[in-house]
Amino acid sequence: MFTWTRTPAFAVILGVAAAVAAAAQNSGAGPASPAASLTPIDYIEIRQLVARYAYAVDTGADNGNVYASLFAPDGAFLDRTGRATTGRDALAALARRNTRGQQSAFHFIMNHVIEPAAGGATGKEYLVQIRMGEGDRPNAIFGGGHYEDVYVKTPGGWRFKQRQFLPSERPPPRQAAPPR
Amino acid sequence: MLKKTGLGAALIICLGALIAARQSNNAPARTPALTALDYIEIQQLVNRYGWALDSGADNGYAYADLYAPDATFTGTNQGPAGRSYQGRDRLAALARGGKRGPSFVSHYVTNLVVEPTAEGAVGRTYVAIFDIGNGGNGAASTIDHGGLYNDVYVKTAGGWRFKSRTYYESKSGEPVQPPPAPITPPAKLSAEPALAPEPARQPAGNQPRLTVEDYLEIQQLVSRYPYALDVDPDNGASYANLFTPDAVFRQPRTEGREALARLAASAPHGPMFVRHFLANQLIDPAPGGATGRQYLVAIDIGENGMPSSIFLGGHYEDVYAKTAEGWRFKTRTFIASATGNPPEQPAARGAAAPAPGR
Repeated sequence: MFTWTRTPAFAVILGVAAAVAAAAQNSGAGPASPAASLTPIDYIEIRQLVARYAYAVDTGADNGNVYASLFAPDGAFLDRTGRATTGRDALAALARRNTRGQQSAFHFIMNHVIEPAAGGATGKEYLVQIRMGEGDRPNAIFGGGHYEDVYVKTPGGWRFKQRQFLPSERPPPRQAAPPR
Repeated sequence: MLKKTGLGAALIICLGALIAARQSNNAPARTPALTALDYIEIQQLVNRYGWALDSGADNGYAYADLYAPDATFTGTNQGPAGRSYQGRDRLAALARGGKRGPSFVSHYVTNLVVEPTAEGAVGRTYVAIFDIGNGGNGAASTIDHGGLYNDVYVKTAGGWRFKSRTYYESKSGEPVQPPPAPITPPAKLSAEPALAPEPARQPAGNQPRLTVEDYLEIQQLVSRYPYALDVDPDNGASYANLFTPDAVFRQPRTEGREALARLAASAPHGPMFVRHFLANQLIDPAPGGATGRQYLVAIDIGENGMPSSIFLGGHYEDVYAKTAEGWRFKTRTFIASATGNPPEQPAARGAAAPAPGR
């Protein structure tokens, strides 16, 4: 069951400071502090962050800078091999490389689970990449998998501290069972 | 007298300067914040769109009633200059004809971003329009088309409604003119409304209601479902724990947590495996708890360049109960997509007009 908090603005500011302090503590070898709870606005803002990601990466808006703005200053995108892209310039370049145009919809993100964590929150989502409207090529599912995220609350709002994409891998055949 | 006039004039000038300074400090005008409940109500409106359009419920008027009276839908892909529809009857006509039915699913909407404006709110979503089994005749499922919606929402006496919705067909390269609104960096949302517990707006009469926390917790329950089914390596335990002890899943009819765990354990699982994609989630208060529904598309993602395929599509109909451990499924029923009336008529999907807090 969730633990909800409802806080006035000053408490939110204190909460940010506490989260930053907790994150700083956890960067050492000390024991992890208990997970902070999230307010409804936290959940909504984190959901908006994740939804915004799709537009930013598909359109490469503002020369990739909108994509970069979704990450904390030290935030990182990790590809399937764990290779990290970090820093505003490198993240913006990543978005520029991947954009398909201002009117493209490619990253469809669903099943967003958010959990409070020490220093912020974690989350995960399913991704299906759908290729549509590319000349004579038929519309098709290009690929898919899931994201694993770490979010951090900055003075400007929630941002990705880390996001990794892991492509779907079918488990070894065991038995034929219908989907539930 | 002259002195008095001069003093008065000076005071007026000072007052004018003060007002001007205040106005300057206030510029640009502060955009009113949306409450957490506003975000949820807009999300419910947006999620209701697919249900109303695909079912054609109420002769298309369930769809038309998602719009404010003067609202428009524009399809920028319809002709060189696009085409707009305005008025309840014209909008209702859009949701009639073609493939429709209470069990038909096609418009999967996701990636909702909502931003407050001085007049209400604007938003954007992605939509993928599937042809599931060619309307249920067993043919291979395909992706018909899809793209983006740009929305303007307005809060009416009956709740949030579309003031306008504009569809842009996904395409690579240059956009249509005028193009969809570019995405901007995220802004911190206001937490102002969260000083006291915020109940959902009271429905008419003594009907049950849900709090913002209830909506969010049920959304999270539903979002956990695919992971419990596809990913979690615990022999179905996390799947079973999403249900109440006496819960029933259909189909096949499976009752109780032990049986539910066995059911989940028999499905393919893997730490990187994704198959069950849920969209268009609706939640409604109900006596004793809540009800809900979502679209499902089960996708077999191709690996290493192999083609992917759509295994099936349909929708879930749920009853939720609030337990000591939080919200859980009390019943969950999967209904495969089909056009026309199904043999066993489910609840009248999409027929109800959106209401505050729903």
